Amino acid sequence: MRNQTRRSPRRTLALAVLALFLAPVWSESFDWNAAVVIESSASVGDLADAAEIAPEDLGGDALLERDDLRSAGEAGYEVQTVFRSSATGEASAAWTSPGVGLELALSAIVLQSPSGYGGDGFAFLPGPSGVRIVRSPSSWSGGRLMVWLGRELLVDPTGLVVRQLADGAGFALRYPRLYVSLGAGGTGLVDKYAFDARLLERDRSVFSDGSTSLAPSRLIALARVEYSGVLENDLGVFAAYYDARAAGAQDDAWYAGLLADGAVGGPITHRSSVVLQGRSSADSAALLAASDVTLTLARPRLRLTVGGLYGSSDGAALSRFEAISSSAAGRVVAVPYGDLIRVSLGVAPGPFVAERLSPSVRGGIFLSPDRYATGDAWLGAEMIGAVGYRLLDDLVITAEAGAAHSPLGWTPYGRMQGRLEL
Amino acid sequence: MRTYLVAVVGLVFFSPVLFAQYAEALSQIAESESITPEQALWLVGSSAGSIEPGTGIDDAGARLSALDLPMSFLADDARPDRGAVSIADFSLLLMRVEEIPGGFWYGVAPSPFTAYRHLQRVGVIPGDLAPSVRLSGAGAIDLTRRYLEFASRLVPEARGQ
Repeated sequence: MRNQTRRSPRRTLALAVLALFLAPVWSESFDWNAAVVIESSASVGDLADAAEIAPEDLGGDALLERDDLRSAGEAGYEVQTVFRSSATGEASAAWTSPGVGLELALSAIVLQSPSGYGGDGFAFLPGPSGVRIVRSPSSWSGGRLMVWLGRELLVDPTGLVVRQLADGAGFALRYPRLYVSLGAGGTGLVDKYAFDARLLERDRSVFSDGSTSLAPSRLIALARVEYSGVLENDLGVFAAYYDARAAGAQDDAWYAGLLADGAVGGPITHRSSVVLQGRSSADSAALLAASDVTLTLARPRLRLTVGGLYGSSDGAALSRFEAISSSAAGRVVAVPYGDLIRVSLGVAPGPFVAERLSPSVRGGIFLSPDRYATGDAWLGAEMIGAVGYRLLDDLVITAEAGAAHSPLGWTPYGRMQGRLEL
Repeated sequence: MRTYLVAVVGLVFFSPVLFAQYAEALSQIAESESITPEQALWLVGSSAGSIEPGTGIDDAGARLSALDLPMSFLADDARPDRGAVSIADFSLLLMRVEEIPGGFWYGVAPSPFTAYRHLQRVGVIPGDLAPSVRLSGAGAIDLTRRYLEFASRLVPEARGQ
């Protein structure tokens, strides 16, 4: 009897992936692309009065992030300087034949901070990557259908509820004025620190667990339908589903949202959205409504933005709103959307000096009925001034300074950032 | 763009023969499924005024040989992909013939890819086109027009003049 060697599944998979990558190279219709973004920033913040804030309450876009607080250690949150650098690289290879194409995409991010990042000075992490099959027949007038499998960023059109990296599958159809997409994936293999997977409040104890850098294992599904050109507006609806039952929790949450973005009349534009949230464990729904109205003047060159946001708190009719991804209703100390009313104002003149200098000032007032240890309603505010200078077309230096005031005290900060794109 | 217009107006009013040659060459390029290095050199050179009116497509390479052209446009029939010009190669040709500030990466390492990324960043090249995509003749004409329009909008200080 002939001695048969059994090929291991892992080796078969490796050969299949290798063949998939090499196939486009042998093809005459092989296309490739690449991009690199390098960012470096230095932040100085006074955290002395921020000790009462639970680190899990800080959102991803805020200056004072969870790692900033953790890096301060148990000694207290004193004045500190945080240096951070990151390099994000993307590469793709595509094989195309008339009407259909196969694309392989890889991206990775390298993070470095002397004060540590997720426990280490360096972090090397895979970003959106995977296989994409693209179909774009010439009869579709530029439209295309893409089916993806791998790691993708799920983002809802309002930008308020879902912005989460997930491993899964989906499709996106773009026809001249119509966009339809459906995607679903799990978060269990995503680095929670690098990609800010805070998820819902009940998951934040998992986020705080320093024994692993992986995010809580949850399922997120997102469907979007958008249509442009309705009364000079882009209209979008979306539905999102969040399931934690796989992790043992007897709960899930769903979202339905509506977005309108476009002209109001003359130089005035707006971006308005309403999102409804329901949970299997609660009888009542939650609500998030937000609107930004912008006036753009040509002479003097000025952009003025007035915004309002309301996130429902626990009440007789509504429950507290929770976004799937971390909220960032504030630049200095991010406040969750639930229990929040925010009014904001921004002024951006220019740009000046051969279109290279872009100053801006923005501020906001926060009213939160029931936050932090006091349990009382509180009023907070923040004011930020920033100036960006485009040294070269691919190199931008930004400096900003600001301060937030809350019942916890003053939190001033300053930040310098450089961004270089290839 | 101004040079381009002057060349076109000059051809129209002062030399019907030259104009006929120009129109014939342009028509030939517009109908090409993929633009050749000679066609690309002629198109960019004549649009930017770097070659004399009346120069044929086959002679454009010789007339532009004094310029520091990208390697892919030099005579080298051994190149396996000789005969088709990618968007990245065409981007470098545009930036060599009609210079504009190229940003940090192009300044450090001028190459087809850094030229392509720069033109994509400033909006001359649409964002969904890969650098290795072969340009059609019509696509090359449109890209040349967009590039020269962009270059003409730059303020003199930004162009280092």
